[in-house]
Amino acid sequence: MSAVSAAVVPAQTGSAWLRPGAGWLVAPLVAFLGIVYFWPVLGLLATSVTDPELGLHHYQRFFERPIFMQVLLRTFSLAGFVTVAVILIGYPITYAMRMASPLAMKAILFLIFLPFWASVMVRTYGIMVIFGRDGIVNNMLMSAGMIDGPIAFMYNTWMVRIAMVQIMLPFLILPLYSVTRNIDQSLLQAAKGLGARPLMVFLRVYLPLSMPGIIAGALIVFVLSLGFFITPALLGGRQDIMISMLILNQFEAQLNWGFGATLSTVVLVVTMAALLALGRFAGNSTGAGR
Amino acid sequence: MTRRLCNGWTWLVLVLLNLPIVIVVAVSFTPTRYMTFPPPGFSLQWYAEFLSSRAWTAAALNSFVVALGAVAIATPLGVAAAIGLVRGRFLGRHVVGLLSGTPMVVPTIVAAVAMYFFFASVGMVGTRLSVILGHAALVMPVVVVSVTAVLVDFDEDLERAARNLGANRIRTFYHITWPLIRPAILSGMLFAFLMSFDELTVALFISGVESQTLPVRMWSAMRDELTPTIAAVSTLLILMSVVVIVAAQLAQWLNERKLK
Repeated sequence: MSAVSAAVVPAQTGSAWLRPGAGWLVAPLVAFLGIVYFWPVLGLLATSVTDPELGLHHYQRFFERPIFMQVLLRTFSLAGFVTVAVILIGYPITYAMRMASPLAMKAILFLIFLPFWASVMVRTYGIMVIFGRDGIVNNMLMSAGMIDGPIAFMYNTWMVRIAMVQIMLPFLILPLYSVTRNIDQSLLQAAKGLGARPLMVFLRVYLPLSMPGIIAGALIVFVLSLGFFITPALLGGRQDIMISMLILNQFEAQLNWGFGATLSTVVLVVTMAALLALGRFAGNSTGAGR
Repeated sequence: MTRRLCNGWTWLVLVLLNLPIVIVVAVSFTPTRYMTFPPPGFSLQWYAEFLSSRAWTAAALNSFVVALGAVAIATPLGVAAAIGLVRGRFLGRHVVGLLSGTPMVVPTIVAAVAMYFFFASVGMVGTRLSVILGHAALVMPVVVVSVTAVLVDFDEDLERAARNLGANRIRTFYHITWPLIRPAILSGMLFAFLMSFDELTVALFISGVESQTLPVRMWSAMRDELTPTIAAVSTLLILMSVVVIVAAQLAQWLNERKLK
């Protein structure tokens, strides 16, 4: 959360244009978000304990029935997997971006942003087109006579994982790159000049300096993945139900508003806790890096 | 050696990342009902299907109206708040900063459910206005962050110089501050527009049958049956995004040329 605050509120002081009333400019936004965002969220928390009658029975149900904790754990582990995978895949890319020529950079940025602009739905649809029952791979394999009936590529966990990694990758690369591009090359050269082997230079100089970027990107990806439902809902099978899909189900099928509110509150609390934990971890590691 | 490995890896990943997009665009032109790659011919039938379908075009129109409305609300509020956060000095400034960023941080599904209950309580579920309001809240932080980033690095000596030379506050703002924050506002607006246009979760919960946005329509279609019409819609979406971004870059480039 402090990362968000730092992004929005600067630390400097003093201004020639400072009006005594400049602070009031934030009032309309605060009022609007208060009414349309924060008040509804409070209402959500209230609904989870008042619908259909006052009490914590929804929460009781959530903790008692093991299936719900399973779903929560599954959501967590998917988010964690995606985050780690995205870091491993994206890190070398940001390193290559450092060394790239201006023309190559333009190409790389375009190729990173294009999926960004294409929207999650389009990209998930693309995967469905490729791997679906009537999809390209199946059609190719069948017309080549290699298989008799369509293979169910989709509706399994690995497909969901691959798809989500694909979708989340730009969200890591961009913050990570904006940090690593500021890493002073002369620091690396100095280390080399002092006799350090390339691996040492990487571990002792480059990696610690890139940590803030990794943390920032990881935070974004992890939080996004926790609340994500589009891709798992479309590509996952019955064993891949995420908590967000469960929530949607409460509203579409079960018509159980109270429980839906409860599940949403759980997602909210869990996300906030994850943010705090990761933020604490970030504070420690960047502190040690200095 | 490491560099070459990283380069190779980069291109491999980037190609794989964009492959689904390329395939979707290609499939949108297929003359058959089946999805094969490369498509056996060239046909615009699925685009015709999209344009002739009342459901699809209504959804597209809804998305436009909603996105425009959301940006219209988010921009003035966001820009004002950014100025207030950077230039203002008041109790709770940091808290307000945190609060203004919350919609970006909280999972969208939580916001969607919360807003559903809220709008249901005032009987507004299913109206376009409710989606506009919901999206405005979601995209506002984007505008705030965009403008704040520029304002923070803003060299206030420029303003001081203008003031010393006799310009009053309004002239200073108009001639010095505004041209320099304008690109940030524009890029914030465009990004906010795209964010709203592509947004599914909140729209899914709050919009109704008539106020259905394009992503919601795509969502229903994708759960139902995978026709290439979705590919055509997707291609149009990609095209629109690219056009918007290119227009933004052009505007920025023109703006920079003018300033020189």
